[in-house]
Amino acid sequence: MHFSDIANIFQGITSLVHSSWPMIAARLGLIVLGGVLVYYGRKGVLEPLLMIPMGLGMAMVNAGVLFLDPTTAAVVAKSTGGAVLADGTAQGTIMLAPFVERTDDLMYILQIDFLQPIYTFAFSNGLIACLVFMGIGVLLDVGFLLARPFQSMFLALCAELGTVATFPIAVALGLNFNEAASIAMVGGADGPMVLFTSLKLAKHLFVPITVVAYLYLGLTYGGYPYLIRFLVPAKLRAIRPVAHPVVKISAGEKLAFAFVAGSVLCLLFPSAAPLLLSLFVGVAVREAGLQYFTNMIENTILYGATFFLGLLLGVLCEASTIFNPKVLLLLVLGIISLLLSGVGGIIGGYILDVISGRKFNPVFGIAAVSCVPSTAKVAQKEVSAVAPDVIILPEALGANISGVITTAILTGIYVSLVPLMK
Amino acid sequence: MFLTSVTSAIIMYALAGLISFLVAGLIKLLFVIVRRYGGGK
Repeated sequence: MHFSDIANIFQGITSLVHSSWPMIAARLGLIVLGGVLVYYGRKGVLEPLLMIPMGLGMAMVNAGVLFLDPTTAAVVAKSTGGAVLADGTAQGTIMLAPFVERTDDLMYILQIDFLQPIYTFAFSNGLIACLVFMGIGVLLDVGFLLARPFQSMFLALCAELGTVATFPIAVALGLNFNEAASIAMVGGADGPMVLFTSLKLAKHLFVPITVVAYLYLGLTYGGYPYLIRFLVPAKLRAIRPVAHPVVKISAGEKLAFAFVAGSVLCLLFPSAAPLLLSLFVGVAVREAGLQYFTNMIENTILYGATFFLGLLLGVLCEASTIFNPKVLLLLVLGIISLLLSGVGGIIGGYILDVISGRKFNPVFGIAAVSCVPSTAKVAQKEVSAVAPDVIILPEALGANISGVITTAILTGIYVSLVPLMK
Repeated sequence: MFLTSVTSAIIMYALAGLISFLVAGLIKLLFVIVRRYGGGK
């Protein structure tokens, strides 16, 4: 037995030592980062449902790099434009080949890479984003929005400041229109919509953009409280909302809303119709009292889609896939976008506070950032810290749900209009 | 390119605002219709 035979057995190690120094550092760094995600997911600092499968996938895909046989290497190299080694092999994994698109090549890869069927038939066409959105629809009680639609929509619109303002900032920093719109969507604080937009507009960057989005969205629960404390003095945080007469919204009215709003938005933005249909069909199923469907979507579909979303996002973080010169820029732009959206929401809260004669709690504004229900909970937590008997959660949820709708509207606008820009 | 992006961002924000308030208006209109003709409360 020669040394080369032993090296051939432990290909994960051999492929590592045969890589360039930056690639070795990247692979090891991503293995460590995967461990960090699992740790903080387990601790509850980051969303465990997403981060534990993602962290595990990220660590193992970077550990499990091997030398692909010459046939597979040729198929992958043809799609990625990468080089093969002198013996016809190339470094890669047998988990997923995200950039293989030609039908013949895809048919071959589908029989090799074990996650390729889920990626090809459920991820790269946006289906998984739609399934998650269907689950969100089932969880939403649109009654909170329907009670005060103009107020909720105004706040939600202000909380899209980051989604809009980051677009020109990203262009100024060198991204093209499609890439800029995709990263700006992080400000909408809605993972499925970031995934959907980047798949439509900047497929070559959708892996880093989606990873950045999900990492940051996990941090809103920890980061936004500091923003609230910085921008809203304790005295204003303690403002008790004016008691409105309770508006009872029947299930029939909510169902009618889902039908009308969904149809109108699809009429306006056919390119975002899959996402809009998914959201409103979730709302409709819930309000129509279809308990079997509600249970199926809420449990099986939502959790199944979230699990595979996390796992695939992790596996897509293979060093050679994710390391793009634009990643650092995307990291910066993602945080700018979320920060500006939070600031925009609070500005909206201040505007309503002034209009109402200092009777509106500006903290409501942060809840309009559509990370359901995290931002509404953050708003309530920060208000409770200074005024334990003040309850803002029901109205905050109204703003929160409006945030989902305005983000869907902006997704529709971006995927329809941005490709037309020259 | 930057100027185009600023202009289009403003236009797209205005459009999003218009559509958001259209949706809010639709909700109000729906209430009126459902409560007047649908027997809801």
